[in-house]
Amino acid sequence: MGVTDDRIAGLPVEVGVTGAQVVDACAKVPGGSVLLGAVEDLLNWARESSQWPVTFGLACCAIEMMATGASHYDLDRMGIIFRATPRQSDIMIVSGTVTKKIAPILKRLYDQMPDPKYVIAMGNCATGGGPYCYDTYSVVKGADRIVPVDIYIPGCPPRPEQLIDALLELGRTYRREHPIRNARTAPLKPAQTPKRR
Amino acid sequence: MTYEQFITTHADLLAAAEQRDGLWALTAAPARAHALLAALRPRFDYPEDLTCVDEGEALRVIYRVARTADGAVAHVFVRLPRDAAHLPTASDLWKGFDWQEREAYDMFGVIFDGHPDLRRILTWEGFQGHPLRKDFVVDDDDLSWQIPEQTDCEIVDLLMRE
Repeated sequence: MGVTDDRIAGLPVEVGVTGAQVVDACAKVPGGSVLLGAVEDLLNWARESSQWPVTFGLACCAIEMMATGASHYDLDRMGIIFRATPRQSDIMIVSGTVTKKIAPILKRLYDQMPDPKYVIAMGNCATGGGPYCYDTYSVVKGADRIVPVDIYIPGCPPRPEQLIDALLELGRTYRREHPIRNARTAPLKPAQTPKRR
Repeated sequence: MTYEQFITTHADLLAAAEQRDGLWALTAAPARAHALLAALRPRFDYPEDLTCVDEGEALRVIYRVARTADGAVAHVFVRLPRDAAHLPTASDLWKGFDWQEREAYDMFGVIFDGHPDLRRILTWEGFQGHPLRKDFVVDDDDLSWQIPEQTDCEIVDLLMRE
C-alpha cells in the first residue's frame, strides 16, 4: 500500500489522497468500474506504446540488441527507446552471458527499476547458460537464477526480428493486466529473487 | 644487433635458443628470466602477450614481445615447477605486462614477485583456485549458488553503494 499506490495512480503525495482511495471511490460510483477499466486500458496502451528498456549489454547478444535499436531495424519507430538508467526503465533485456561476477550488478539494476517491470532473457546464455552450461566456474546458468524472467528468446545470438517480436509480445501481455486494481493489494510482481527451477 | 650477436652476447642467460622464420625463440631458467627480458627490452618495445601453458608437471610462461619498427617478434619461454611457480615481474620493464601478469596469476597461479598490484583480474576476489590449471576441479554444483550478500569485488561494491 502507500508508496506503490501513489506511484501507480500517478498522484503526488501532497494531494493527500492515496491511489487506493481513488480506486475505492471509483469502484463505488455507478459505472465506476467501467471508468476504472477505461483508465486501465489507457494506461496499458501507454505502457505498450512506450516500452523503455534499460541500456544493459552483457556479451555478443548486446551487439544484436544494438543492431535492433539502430537505423536498420529501428526500435524507435515502435516507441521502444533505450534509457541510460534503470530508474526510467520498465524492461530489462538480459543480452548475453551472466557471469557470477556481474550477477550482483544485474540484481541491483533490477531492484532499481520501478514497478511494473519486466525481464527479457535474450539468447541461449541468458536463457540457461548456453554453451557454458557444463563444467563452468564462472557462468550463472540462466538469468532466471537472479531475476524473474518474462520472455525467453532462443538463439545464439537471436535475430533482431526475434527481439522485436519478443518486445511486441511482451507489450501485448500488458493488455491483460490491471495495474490500478492490482496495485491496491500488492505490487504487480514480487521483488525478491525467484526460487530456482 | 642480429640474432646471432644477441645469443652470443647473452649466452649465459639462455638455456636454449633458436630462430624460426625470423622469430626468436629463447628459453631461460626462472632465475635468469628477468635479466634476459631486460636485455631484450631496448630492442623490443611492445609487449604483445604474456600467457602460460599447463604442461602437467610444470607450468610454462611465455612472453611475446615485438618491435614496432619492423615487426620482429621474440618469444621467451620459462618453465616453472607448478607447486612453486614464482617469477620476478616484468612489469617494471614493460608497463603493459602489468595486467597480463595479473591474468596469468588469476588463471594459472603464477606468482610474479615484485608486481605492484597482484590481484585477480578476471574472476572475482575470493575465488578459490586457478581455473585454467589442469587439476582445477570445477564446482559444478551451480544449483546451490546464490548471490553473495557481501562481495569482495571492488567495482561491485562501488556500484552497489548508493
